[in-house]
Amino acid sequence: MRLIPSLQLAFASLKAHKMRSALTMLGIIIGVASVITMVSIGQGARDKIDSEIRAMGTNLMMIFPSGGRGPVRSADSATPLLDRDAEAIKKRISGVVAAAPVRFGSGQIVTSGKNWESQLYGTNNDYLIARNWVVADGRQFQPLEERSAAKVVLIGESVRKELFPNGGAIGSTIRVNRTPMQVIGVLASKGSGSGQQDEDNVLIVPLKTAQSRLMGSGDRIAGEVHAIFLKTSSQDIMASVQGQVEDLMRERKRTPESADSPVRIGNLTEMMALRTATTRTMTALLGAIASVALVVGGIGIMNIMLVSVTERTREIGLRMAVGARPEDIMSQFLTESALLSLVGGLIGVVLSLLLVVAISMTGAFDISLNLQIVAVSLFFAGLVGIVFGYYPARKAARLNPIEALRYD
Amino acid sequence: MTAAPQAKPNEADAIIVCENLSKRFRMGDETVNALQGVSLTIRRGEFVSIMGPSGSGKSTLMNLIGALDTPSDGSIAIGDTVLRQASQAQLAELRGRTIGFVFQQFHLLPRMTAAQNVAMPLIYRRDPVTDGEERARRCLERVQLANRMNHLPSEMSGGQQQRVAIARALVNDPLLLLADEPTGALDSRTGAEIITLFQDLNAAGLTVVLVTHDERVAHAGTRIIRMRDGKVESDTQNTDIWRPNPAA
Repeated sequence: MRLIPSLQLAFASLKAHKMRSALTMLGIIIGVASVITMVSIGQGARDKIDSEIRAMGTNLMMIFPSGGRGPVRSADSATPLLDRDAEAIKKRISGVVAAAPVRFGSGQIVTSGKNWESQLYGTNNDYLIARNWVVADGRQFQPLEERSAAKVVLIGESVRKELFPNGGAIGSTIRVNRTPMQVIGVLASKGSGSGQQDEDNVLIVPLKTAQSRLMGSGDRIAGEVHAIFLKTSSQDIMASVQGQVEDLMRERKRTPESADSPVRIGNLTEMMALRTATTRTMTALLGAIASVALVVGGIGIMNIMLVSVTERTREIGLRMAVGARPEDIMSQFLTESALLSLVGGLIGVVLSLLLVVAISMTGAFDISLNLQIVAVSLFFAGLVGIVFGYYPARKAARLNPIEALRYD
Repeated sequence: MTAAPQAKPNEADAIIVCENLSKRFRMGDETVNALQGVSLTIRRGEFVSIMGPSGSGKSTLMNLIGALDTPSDGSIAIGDTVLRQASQAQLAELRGRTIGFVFQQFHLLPRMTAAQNVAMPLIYRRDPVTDGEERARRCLERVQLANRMNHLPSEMSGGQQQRVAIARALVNDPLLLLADEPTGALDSRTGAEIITLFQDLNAAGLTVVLVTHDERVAHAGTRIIRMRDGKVESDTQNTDIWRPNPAA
């Protein structure tokens, strides 16, 4: 028997039991829709991390004093980092493209009746290199401004939007923590602000300006910074650079071999890779759970096909009596179960597309549809139909025509 | 299954040649000899009635003649094919090509029209035909049901359904028509019509084998084979042919 009559036969038989076919398909529909939706959610999380990595800056390393945790200093903080350490790292370790000493703080901005709070970084132009950040409008700091603690500021896109919605930011004066500062540039948007923190709500001033004018009070050592941001020329040398930085800092802070390292080095790419791996595991897990639904759907198909074989025993006997070979009967039932699961799979794909659109509209998850997974799950739906249809089909094909004809 | 020329040259028009045919079944611990040493020949153009009470072996004989089963011993030749051991697939091919079955319960597929039911066996042919509808129409004409082509079985009377089943048996131009109690589910008047149809088809050259336990129906044939306890009890030409011909 050839494909077209097989398909016609299968369609006719599924149409004859519409309710039953629909319910059987439901298992596959749910299976396929959940596989696609779950994997799309996992994929969305991964894509988000990718974009975060890109926004954060590639080949980025962050050095903190080991006593403190990031910008928060513990009471008996170990040897603080100094801006000179950044210079030394850049000079003495090859492969370091940028080394930016950074002070973190917050800036209260007041301008013509508006009040706005944003993150404040005191650093130098290297910070922009390390973070892959460009000045969209205006210019970077000039060496003289960095040395002389000039009252100049670069503002992030969110700050511009808030304070200068109609443009005209460059050259304006804003009061940051009561100090009047001149806006010399607007940073390009990082655009990754879909989470906890708005990266674009930022003010960047020269390090010296921050230390002497905005937040330097209470320092134990002049020139203290909270962190140093490093960018290496390539991903491959990051590990060796990390070792060299540690050695250099031991030397500069006069830390004995036996003592803990004076600095804590965060390798951002590594952290992100770890998170990526975690999400990948999550995606696999979600996919696996969803596949269970697909398998359960397959069991439903097997169940209904067994019922169908029993119900149609006499029909099978008749078909055999008029010349159907066992393989004809086999292919008839296999076609039926494969069709059942494929149609269910297609409906599942449509359903998952609707779900993905709906979820992305509510914004509950980052979701990105992967066409590959659509193809894969359709393929598996068809496979489920054939695998779970095989036993009932074989049962039908092995019927003895004499007994089948007499069956009632 | 081995293909061989005609078993005996002097029986050139033989369609079925059974030689020393035996069939044993195992029923639990017991072995049942359903057929023991049956030899008979059915020739082209005959109308043979096979009679016997239940358990006489007539159904087993019919299954063998219909290539639904293989013998335990002996040999049976159907057309050009001598059958000893054959796979289900080989038997299926033989059934499709040479034998037209008619059953007591009609066995029509309820969701198909008369024409679709008649054309159904064609999809299993090894050499597919493209004129299926035309063939189905011609066969329905032969059973005087050309006007019921598009009716479902549920829209037809029992006699009409049986005639559709006969048309289906004819669609592959079989060597012989094998009917198992074809009037068993019909009232006597409709049964008589079906018998007349068989006689007409036989008169037109078709070989008919009719299995029945009804003495009167058996007398529709030109030859009556009586079975008892797995053996042929008698095999005689029927001189007293019953022609119901209710129209006359």
